[in-house]
Amino acid sequence: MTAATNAIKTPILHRLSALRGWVVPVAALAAWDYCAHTGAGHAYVFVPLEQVAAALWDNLLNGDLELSWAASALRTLTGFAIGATLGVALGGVMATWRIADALINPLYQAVRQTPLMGLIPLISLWFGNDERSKLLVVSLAAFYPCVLNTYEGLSGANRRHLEVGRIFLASRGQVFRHILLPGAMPAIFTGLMQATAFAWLSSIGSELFFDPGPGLGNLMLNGQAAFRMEVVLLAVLVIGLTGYASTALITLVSRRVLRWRPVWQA
Amino acid sequence: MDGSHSTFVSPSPANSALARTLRQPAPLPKVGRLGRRAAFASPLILLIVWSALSYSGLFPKEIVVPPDGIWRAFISQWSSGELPKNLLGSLQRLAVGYGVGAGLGIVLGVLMGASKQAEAYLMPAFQTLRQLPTIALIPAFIMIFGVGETVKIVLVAKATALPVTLGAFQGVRGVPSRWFEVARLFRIPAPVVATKVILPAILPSLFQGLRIALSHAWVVLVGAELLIADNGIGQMMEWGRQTFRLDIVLVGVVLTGLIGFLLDKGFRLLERGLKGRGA
Amino acid sequence: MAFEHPDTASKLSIDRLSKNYILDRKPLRVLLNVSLDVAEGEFVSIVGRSGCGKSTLLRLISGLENDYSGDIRLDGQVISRPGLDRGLVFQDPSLLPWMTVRQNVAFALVNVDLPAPEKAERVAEHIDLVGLKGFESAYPKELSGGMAQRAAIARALVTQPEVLLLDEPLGALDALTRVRLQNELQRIWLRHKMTVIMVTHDVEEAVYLGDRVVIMDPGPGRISRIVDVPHPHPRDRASPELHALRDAVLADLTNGVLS
Repeated sequence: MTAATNAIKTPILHRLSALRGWVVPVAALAAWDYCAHTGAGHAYVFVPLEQVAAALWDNLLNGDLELSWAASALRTLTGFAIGATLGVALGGVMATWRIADALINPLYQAVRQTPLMGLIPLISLWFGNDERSKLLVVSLAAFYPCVLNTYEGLSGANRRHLEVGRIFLASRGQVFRHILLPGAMPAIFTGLMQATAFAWLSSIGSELFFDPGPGLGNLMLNGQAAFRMEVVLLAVLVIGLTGYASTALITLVSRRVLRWRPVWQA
Repeated sequence: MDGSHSTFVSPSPANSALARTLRQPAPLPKVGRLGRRAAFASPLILLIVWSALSYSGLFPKEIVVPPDGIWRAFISQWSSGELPKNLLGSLQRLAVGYGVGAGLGIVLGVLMGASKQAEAYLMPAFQTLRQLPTIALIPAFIMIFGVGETVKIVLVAKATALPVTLGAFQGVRGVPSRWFEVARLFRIPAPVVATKVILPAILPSLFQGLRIALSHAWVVLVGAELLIADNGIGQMMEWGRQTFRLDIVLVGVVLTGLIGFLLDKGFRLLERGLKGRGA
Repeated sequence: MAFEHPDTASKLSIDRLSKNYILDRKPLRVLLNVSLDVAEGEFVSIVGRSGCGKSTLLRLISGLENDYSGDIRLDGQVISRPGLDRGLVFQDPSLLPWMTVRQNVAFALVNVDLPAPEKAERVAEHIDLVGLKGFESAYPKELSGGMAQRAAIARALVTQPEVLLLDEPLGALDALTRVRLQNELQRIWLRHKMTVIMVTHDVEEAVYLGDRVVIMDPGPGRISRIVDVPHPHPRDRASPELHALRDAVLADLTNGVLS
C-alpha cells in the first residue's frame, strides 16, 4: 500500500467512521418499521414511521403541537425564573451570613431529602390540582440545584483571592462584587444548567400528575388514552429535542460569561 | 512617576472589621462542617418547626397534620398490614429494576469504555437516550408494557442504567493506559489484571454512578407508583390524596424522604468501607 | 549609585519581632526576636532554609498577619493591618482570573481616591512599565507565568507604595524567565528607587539584586547574618566578586545542614 493510496483512503475512512454512530439508531428504526409493517403483535405500539411523520405534520398544521409546546415551555420559563432567582438568592444569603446559614441549612437539608415526586400528593391536597400547583412544582425543581450550587460556589472562595482583596483594603461589598461573585459564577451556572433540565422535565411531569391542561405531557396522555402511539412518540421526540436545545443554549451562554476560565478547570 | 508619596484613603473602620473577619484561620468548607451537624439537627429542627406550625392553630389539623397525627396514621397503617405490604412492594420493585438496570449499565459502560469501536457505535444512541427524561417516557412505556409490574420495573431500570453506564464508562476511561502496558510487560494474566488492577480502579467512578442511579430510581419509582396504582408507597400516597387523608399522605412523604436518605447514606457508607479496604 | 550605610532614620524598622502559632495546642515559635532596619530606597534580599519564617516575616510586614509581639514600623507608624503603602507580590501571581490585565491592575486602585481618567492613566503606565503593553485585554489564562507575574508586579506598584514586598516572586518560573524577570525587577527598581524587601530561595538572585542579603535560620526563625553587597547597580552577573559573595552566603546557609 503506497503512501498515495493511504492518503486517499484516510479521508474516506474518516467519513465512514463518523457514520458509525448512526448504525444503531438506523438499525433500530428499521427494525421498528419492519415490525410495524409485518403486523407483529402490539399493532398499536409499533406504528409505522410514516404515521409518526404524518402525526407530526397534522399536529403542526392544526396548531396542537405548537400550543402544547408553548404551554409547557411557558410554564418551564416562569417556574425557572422564580425558582432560580429565589434559589440563587437563598444560596447567596446562606453563604454570606452565618446566622442565616445556621438557621436555614438544617431545614433545607431535611426537606431536600424528599424527592419532588413524593411531594406531589401533598401539593395536590394543599394547593389544588390546577396550573398553580404545576408552576409550584417547576419552581421547586429549579430552586433546589440553584441553592446548593450557589452556596457552594460562594463559600468555596479561593483563599488567595480573598487575600488580594485584603491587601487592597476591599470593603465587604467590594469583596463580594469583585471576588466572591465572579468566583462563584462557574458553580452558579452549573446550578442553572441543572435547574433548566429539572424545570423542563418537571413541567412535563406535572402535567401527568395534576389536572389536564394544555401541554406536551397532556398531549401524551391524550395520545395514550386514544391508543395513538404516534402522538405519544411525537411528544417524546419534541420533549427530548427541547431538552437538548435548552441545555445547549445555557452551555453557550455560560461559555461566554465564563470565557476567562482556564481550560483544565472545566 | 517620580516616587512621590501615594494618595490613599486611610483604612476605615469597616475595613478593619473585614480584616478581622477574614483573619480567622481558614475554616473547614462550610458545607462539610455544618453539613455534618445539620445531618443530625435537620430532622429535629424540621420537627420543631412543623410542630410549631401545626399546633399554632393557624391551619386546621387536617391540612397541616401535627406530628402525633402523622404518627397515629403510621401506626394504624402499619398494624393493619397496609404499610408493610406497600413498603415491600416498592422495595421489591426497586431492587429488581435497579438490579436489571445496573447490570445493563455496567456491561454497556465497560464495553464502551474498553473498546473505542463499541463507543463509536453505541455512544451517540446512548446520548440520545439521555435526552429523553424517564418521566416523559411513562405514557409511552405504559402503552408498550401495560399497567402491571413490568412497566414500573422497566422505568426503574431505564432510570438506573443511564447513570451507571456513565459511571462505568468514565471509570474504565480513567484507568491510565500505562497500567495496561505494564501488565502486558510483566505478562500478568488477563483475569488477574481484570480483578486486581482494573476493577479497583473503576470502582470509585462506578460507585458514584450507582449511587446517583439509586436516588434517580427511587424518585422514578415513587412517581410511577403515583400514576400506576396497585400497591406501593406511591400508590398509598395517591390513595391518601384521593380520600383527602393528609395524614396518610404525610406518612408517605416522610417515608419517601427517609428511605431516600437511608439509601443514599447507606451507599456512601458502602463506598467508604470499600475504599477503606485498600482499593 | 551605591549605598554606604543604612540611614539612621530608617524607612522600615523591625524591632524584636516574635510570632507564635498554636499547633495542636502547643505554641510553635515561628519568629524569635527578629530585628532589622531598612533604609529608604534600599533593596533587601532575605534568604533562608524552609521553616525559617521568612514568608511569615513578609506577611507580618504586609499586614496580612498581625498577631505578633515586638514592633514593626513604617515611617515611624506601627503596622498592624494591610495598607496601600505596602505592595505585595506572591509567589503565584494570584491575578483574579475573571479580570483582564488592565482590570486586575486597576483593582488595586479600587479604594484610592482619584478621578477615573487619572486612574486609567496610571494603570496604563504601570502595564507599560512591566513590559506588558499590548496585553491589557488579556485574561490571566492567556498569559505565561512570567507575564502573569509581571502583571502582579504592576498591580503591586500602581498604588505607588512606600515599600514593595516580594515573596519568592520568581520561584515558580523556569530558569530563563527568571533571569529575564530579575533584570526587569532591577530595571524597575532603578527607575523608581522604592524600598524593596524580597524573600527568595535563590541565593544568586538575592546577591544579584540586593544591597544587603539577610540570612535567616530556622528553629525558631531568626536572623543569623546580614551580608552587605556594596556593588553599584546595574550589576554584572558574571563578576567574580558577586560569585564570591554568593558562595559565602551559600556556605552560611548550608552550614547547619552539612556539618
